[in-house]
Amino acid sequence: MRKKAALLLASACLVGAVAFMVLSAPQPFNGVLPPGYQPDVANGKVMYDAGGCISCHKPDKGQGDASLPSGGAPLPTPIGVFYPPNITGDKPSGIGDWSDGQFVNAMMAGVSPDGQHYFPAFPFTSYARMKITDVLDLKAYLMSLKNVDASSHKTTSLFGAPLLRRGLGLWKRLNFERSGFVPDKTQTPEIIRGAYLVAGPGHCNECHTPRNISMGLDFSRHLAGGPHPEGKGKVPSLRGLKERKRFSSVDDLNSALRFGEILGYEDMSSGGMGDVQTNMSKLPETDSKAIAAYLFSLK
Amino acid sequence: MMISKFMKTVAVFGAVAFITTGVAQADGHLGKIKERQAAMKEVGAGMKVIVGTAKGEMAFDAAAIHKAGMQIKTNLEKASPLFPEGTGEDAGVENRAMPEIWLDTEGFAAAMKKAIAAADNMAGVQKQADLMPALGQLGAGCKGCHEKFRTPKK
Repeated sequence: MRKKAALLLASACLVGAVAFMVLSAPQPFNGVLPPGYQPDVANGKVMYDAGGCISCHKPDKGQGDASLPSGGAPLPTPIGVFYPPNITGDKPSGIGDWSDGQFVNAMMAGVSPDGQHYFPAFPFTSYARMKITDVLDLKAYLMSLKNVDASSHKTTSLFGAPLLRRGLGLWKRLNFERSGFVPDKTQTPEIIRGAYLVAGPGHCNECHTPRNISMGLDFSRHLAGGPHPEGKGKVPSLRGLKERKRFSSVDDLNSALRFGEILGYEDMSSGGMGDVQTNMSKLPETDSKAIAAYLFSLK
Repeated sequence: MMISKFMKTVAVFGAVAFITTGVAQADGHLGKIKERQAAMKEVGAGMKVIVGTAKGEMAFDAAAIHKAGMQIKTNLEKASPLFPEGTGEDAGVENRAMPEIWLDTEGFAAAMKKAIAAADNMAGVQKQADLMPALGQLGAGCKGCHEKFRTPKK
């Protein structure tokens, strides 16, 4: 009897483990790379600034050129401190060895070149909505930057990371939407462009859309603000900016995005928004205005 | 018996003294938070005049810009020493001072100093053409401090 129970328990564990391994297995990007694509480096820079890559991938204080994304600055999160990696073209400390496929896989499927899940502190959940050509242009831009050997920079080591990492496969099943950006064709091209920049490269949802109990984004409260993901205070809602008279016009909001507190716009600096705003000030005016037009249209 | 009575008295006095100084200090802290918030409100009012002029909502008036610049400068100077340790977010009155102010006191002092110098520079603006560059410097002063030392709105 006892033997039988033990056998039953063992097989239940085995079934559980197999189910875990199957359900959590990394799923690579399932789209197709455009053959013979010639990347547009200038557009890659727009994607780089829209994404604000430098905000997280900057080096730590005193660790070399702060304008290059060589990684290593601490990024505190509720599950531990991350040290985002070097994304310059250096080999092997950066991504110089990566193929286009590996880069797309990282950005759009959240899977690393060695087949591991990335933690969604790296917002692939948003980048999955990007156009594949925009992702390839971004890679070309990163490769055009000066290579930085960052082998001495800190890297992430989290307690229990291998199992946690694998477990992210389950989280992805629940919360990772791979269907890409779906434009609202009833809107103007400018608003559609703004919606794309916000939902995809800009990854605004990651902070401005609140999360549900499984830490997935709750799109029933799309861009409605919520608790700050790094702890203290709140992230403001981006809905009803017009109705609440937060900004007087699209131009007013555009000017807030481009200049922030430099033009006296209150509350555009704290909680990490200062960096975001600095990056947006580097966008072409048409793009920051598209973002403003889209946000201003949200009731 | 006598000793223990004496000890009791000491203990009671001690406790009373401890509590009153605690209250007094908390009172002083709360007062400082209120004072610096009032000063920053004045800074904001000064900014309104300058930004309004920069956006063309008000005509350029060197005297008004001077007044606004000085208002910002003196109030920043007033606020600077009003951040003693223990007046952060947990001080019992709503405020947005981050712990980094006391983890990086030099950085905080330098950021304040930069903003004060920018306000001084603004107060000296005589013509329209100099307004935007001065505002760029002053606004960067606001941003420089707020992005590192101020929590998001609650």
